[in-house]
Amino acid sequence: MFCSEDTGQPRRGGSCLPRPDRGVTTVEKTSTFSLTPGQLARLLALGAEEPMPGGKRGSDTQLAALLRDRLVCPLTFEREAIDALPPALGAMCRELAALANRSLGEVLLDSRSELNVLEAVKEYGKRLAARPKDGREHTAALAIYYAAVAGALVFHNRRITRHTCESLSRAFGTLAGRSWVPQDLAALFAEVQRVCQASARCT
Amino acid sequence: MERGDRTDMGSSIEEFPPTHWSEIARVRTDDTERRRRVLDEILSRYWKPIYVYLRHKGHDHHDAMDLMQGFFEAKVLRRELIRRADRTKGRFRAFLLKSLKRYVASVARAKRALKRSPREGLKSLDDTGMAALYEPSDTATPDEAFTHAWASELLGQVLAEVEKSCRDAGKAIYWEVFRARTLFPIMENAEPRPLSELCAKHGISSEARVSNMIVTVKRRFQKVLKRRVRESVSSDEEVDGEIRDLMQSLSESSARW
Repeated sequence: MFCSEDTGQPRRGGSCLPRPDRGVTTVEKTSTFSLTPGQLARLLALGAEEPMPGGKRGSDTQLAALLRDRLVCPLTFEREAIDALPPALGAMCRELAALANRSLGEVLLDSRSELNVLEAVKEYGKRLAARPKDGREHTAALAIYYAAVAGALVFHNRRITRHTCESLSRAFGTLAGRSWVPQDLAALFAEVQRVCQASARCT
Repeated sequence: MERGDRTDMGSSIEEFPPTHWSEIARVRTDDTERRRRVLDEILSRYWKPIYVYLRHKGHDHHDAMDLMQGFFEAKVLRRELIRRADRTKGRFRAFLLKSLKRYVASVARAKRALKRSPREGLKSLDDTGMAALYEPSDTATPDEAFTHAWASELLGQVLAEVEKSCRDAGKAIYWEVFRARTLFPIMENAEPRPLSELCAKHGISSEARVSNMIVTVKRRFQKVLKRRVRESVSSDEEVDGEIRDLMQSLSESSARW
């Protein structure tokens, strides 16, 4: 069910799709027919973001903007947040701070992000959420926290939190349906909710 | 423009975006050549998800081809789809799939092989590569395969149009940085190209400028996607719902692929 495109060997975070016979290629330049359903979902999510009108939606608009700002920022952790982490993770975060070319959003959605990176992002989100700021900051931080947990489940088949599968499933389902969550992140939450509901990979 | 040409919303009928429904309705013409052209366009647009669905139902390549030709012959050429299109509306993707299922069931009931010779001669599909492209997977249901092919076709068309519009506008670099930074990581499960690398490669003065280029193309992508989805639904309000449904279906099948 999961295999490398080239060798047929299991590939973490990837999927096997019917592949075009390499000797018979009629695909277009930007071919989408070899993409997995997950990849197609992410492309759709890329195109589905929309501005929201005012009122309650205006508040969601601000939250969406705040979260987007966090996600597009380079993966550099704030000094205060780093120093508040346990020593081992703090050292890790200082190393991660060198990953200046990657944004937080890219790391969260990249199947090749290392498990320890996602763990550090999870802790980062947790610390941010605990800081005395306004509700929007808290909510955006929680989204980052859960996104890291989701990535660990989907890409590494690992649960990096003590929350139960049932609790996680509810949280992911809630976040997947929130209008202020970017669509690509919403797709990840929807996908991991399926995983949790199946419980097959909640270890 | 004559007053009677304007709708209640104040727009001209000519300003309505074309939809799959209106394309089906265009078959309703006595101009044989135009009718054939429209049918060829319709066949070109819909054959992939239909073919994939039939293969995942267990039909071999030749049976799938026969059924597909028969479906277009029976439902489109004989205008049955057109008659239903006037009444049903809604999301064309779901309607097309439902019609196809009914047709396949009716053929199974009749228990006869279909070798249709369309009166106007439907465009001959180049099937030399089709069987290799759409071998059934072990886990996808026929409906999932249909949705997957539909979404693939949709996104392929969107990306092609966006790329063309960038190049036609003399903004090929915009497309290249968007592709490297945004598409490539998704489509190849690969690392995104660093902004600094893109700056150096394309002679762009700053990373902020690269980011702006990417945002410009992304907005174009969003606009084109929504316009194309709008062609398959009955109203503007259904566009987001259709995209969400596609995402949901793909995510569900992704969890099992």
